[in-house]
Amino acid sequence: MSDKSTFGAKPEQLKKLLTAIGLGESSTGEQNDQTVSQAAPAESFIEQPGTRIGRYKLLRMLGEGGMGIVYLAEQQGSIRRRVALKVIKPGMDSKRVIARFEAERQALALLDHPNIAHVYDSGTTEVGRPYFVMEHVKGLPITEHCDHYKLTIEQRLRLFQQVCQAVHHAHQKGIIHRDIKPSNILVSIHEDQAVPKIIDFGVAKAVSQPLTERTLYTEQGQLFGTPEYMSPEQADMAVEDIDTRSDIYSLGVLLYELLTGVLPFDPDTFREGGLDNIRKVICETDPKTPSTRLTKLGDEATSVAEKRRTEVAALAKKLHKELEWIPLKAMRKERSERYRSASELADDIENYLKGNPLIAGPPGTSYKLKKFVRRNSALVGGMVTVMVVLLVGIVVSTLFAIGQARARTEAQIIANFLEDDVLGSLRRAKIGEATVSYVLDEAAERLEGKFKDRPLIEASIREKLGWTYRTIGVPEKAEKHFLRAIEIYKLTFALFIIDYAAGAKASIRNSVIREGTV
Amino acid sequence: MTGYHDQTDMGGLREAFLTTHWSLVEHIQSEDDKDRVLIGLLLDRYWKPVYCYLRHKGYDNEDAKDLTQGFFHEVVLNKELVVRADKAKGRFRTFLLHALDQYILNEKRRQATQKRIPKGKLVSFDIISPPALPEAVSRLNPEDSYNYAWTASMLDQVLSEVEAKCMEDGLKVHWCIFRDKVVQPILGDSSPPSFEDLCEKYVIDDQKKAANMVTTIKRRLQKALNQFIRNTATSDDEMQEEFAEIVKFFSKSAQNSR
Repeated sequence: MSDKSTFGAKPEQLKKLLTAIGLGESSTGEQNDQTVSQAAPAESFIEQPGTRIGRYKLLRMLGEGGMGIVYLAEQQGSIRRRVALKVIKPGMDSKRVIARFEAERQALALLDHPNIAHVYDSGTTEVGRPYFVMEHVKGLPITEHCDHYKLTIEQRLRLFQQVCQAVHHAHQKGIIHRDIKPSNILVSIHEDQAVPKIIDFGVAKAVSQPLTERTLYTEQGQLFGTPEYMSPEQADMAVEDIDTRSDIYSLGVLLYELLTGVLPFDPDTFREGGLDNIRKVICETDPKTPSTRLTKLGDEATSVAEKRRTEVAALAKKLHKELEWIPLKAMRKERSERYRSASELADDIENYLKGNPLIAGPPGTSYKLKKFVRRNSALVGGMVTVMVVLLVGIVVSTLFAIGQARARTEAQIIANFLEDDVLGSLRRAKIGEATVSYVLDEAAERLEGKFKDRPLIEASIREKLGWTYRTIGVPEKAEKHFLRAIEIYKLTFALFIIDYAAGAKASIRNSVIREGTV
Repeated sequence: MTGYHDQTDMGGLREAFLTTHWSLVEHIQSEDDKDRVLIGLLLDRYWKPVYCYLRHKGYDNEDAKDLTQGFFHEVVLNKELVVRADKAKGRFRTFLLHALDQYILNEKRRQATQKRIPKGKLVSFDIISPPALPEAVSRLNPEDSYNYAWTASMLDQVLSEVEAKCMEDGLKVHWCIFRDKVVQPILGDSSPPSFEDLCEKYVIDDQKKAANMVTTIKRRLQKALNQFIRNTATSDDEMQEEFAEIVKFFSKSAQNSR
């Protein structure tokens, strides 16, 4: 262009220019350009305030999404009220976008919940662009609302519960939202009560059947949603069966943000490296625990805590104790490990608030083991088989040795040992170091003095370590553990016999005394 | 790409289309382009996104310029690169980026910067003094900067083409009114002049007529824009995807800039 290049313009200026030209609109170039009869000034490409669409008068633009523009409008006629009118953007009225737009309208029309914006009406503009009219929600995005009013953690949880219930309602109606994020959940104040409302079902999808056949068409090849809140299966476009658990994940991210004031993945690095990196992070990186993330925020942590009417240490403690298990469970990479429903997530919040045991828990041994296997699949191989035999052997033989009465307690002790000392060594190992022998050596070293009060457990573990060393061809170490196990058994059972004998002696003495007094 | 017509089955036999960006590459490869007009066209159109991307990948000005030239040399003369990037074929923008990544990788492996530029450059193109990267671009990641520069280049070309055609067709006033009313206010962050002012400036008796002139140019631009994007894709579906991606990119940029 001779006057001015667009190179150097701000992205929003390029966007405006493309919109003004009418990106994607079908050109009517075949017509004689000179015969245009109606005035159509450039501003009319986008509806301006004052324009009427049906019985609605546009007052001002409220926002702009990927495919639509939302206006504050006034409904004329017998019912006069302010509404939000969403109209498809000029140039976006391709089949694909219209299908998504229609899906959103249908999705919203199916829903009737106090925490979801109602749809009142729909239609098409004079030039054929579809629009729909919905409840105008006057409020702040949920995160901003919470910070603005300095809501405590408990108040935030109460608000979040309502969001969960609204999402659950949508799920029950067969609608997955697919783009849950703070800006899609506005909180308004009604009679001094904060009411969150989900306002945007722009990328919603029917669970059981397509809302329209066209909706499926929109699925191909595009990443819908907002990456920061997107579930692994949603980010991995190879996975087609997105289900309600995808929303559970996004709710988990939202809860994480409500609790800590930051997103689970550092936004500065998250989007670096483009879509592939985003997918990789979402699908493979475990988020830091909220308490860890909070304590690493530095000065920002003080501000985060203040907005929750607490102090950093107190907030970190509260999160660390058990609250952080909830978002982390909701955000598990494996869908089957998340909450089964948004309602269950709300229930677990209730459990927390009432001090009841949570459904969520800290990541357990099996979770950590699975994660280790996933990360080290090449290394693990036969090692896992050997380890499993070892671990199961220890548990079974110990249970036999100690009897059922103490089984539960002892099993927990063994589980802790396995988790902290055996699996812990896997986590501590350098790449290529975590061989079977390495793990056994680590476990053996940590065993020393660990079970002073429970010698039978130690004997049992040493026995199994001995067998495993023998299996992998380290007889000298095997012998050492066998000998120690025998020593413990001898000592323990000898004491037991002495105890038994002493008990029997006392019993006999007592009965003699009783008989003598009769 | 006006004035050069070709029929090709690149992108599939289902459609024959004229002078797409794909056929341009193919013709350069098949040595039809002895006077290097076509490669000049290709360089002229796409050096900015490629250069921007490279700068954001951390290359300095000189290296980015060398690599840009080297890349176009490879992309049009090294069929292997095209074949390997073939999975992304369909949308030219995606192809080019994919091929560029591949090229960077190859270059790193080779570590032979001396061989990067062929003896006697293919064609001169004006990156001797590349424009300073705008602030808007400096905040973007490499992929986004590429998309930004791609879109800016596309807009520049479309606007230039339509402007030139208007001059040819005796529609200079039409063009000037559109420029004053739409382009300049947007790029200059200023208020658009009223139709009344424009009528006075260009001596037009009726505001409605001036508005119609704007619509005329808008239609020409729409047509040129659609044609441009259509030429970078191999089907209507891909074209729609291309539209959607451009819109998505700008929505994301707008979010990030907030």
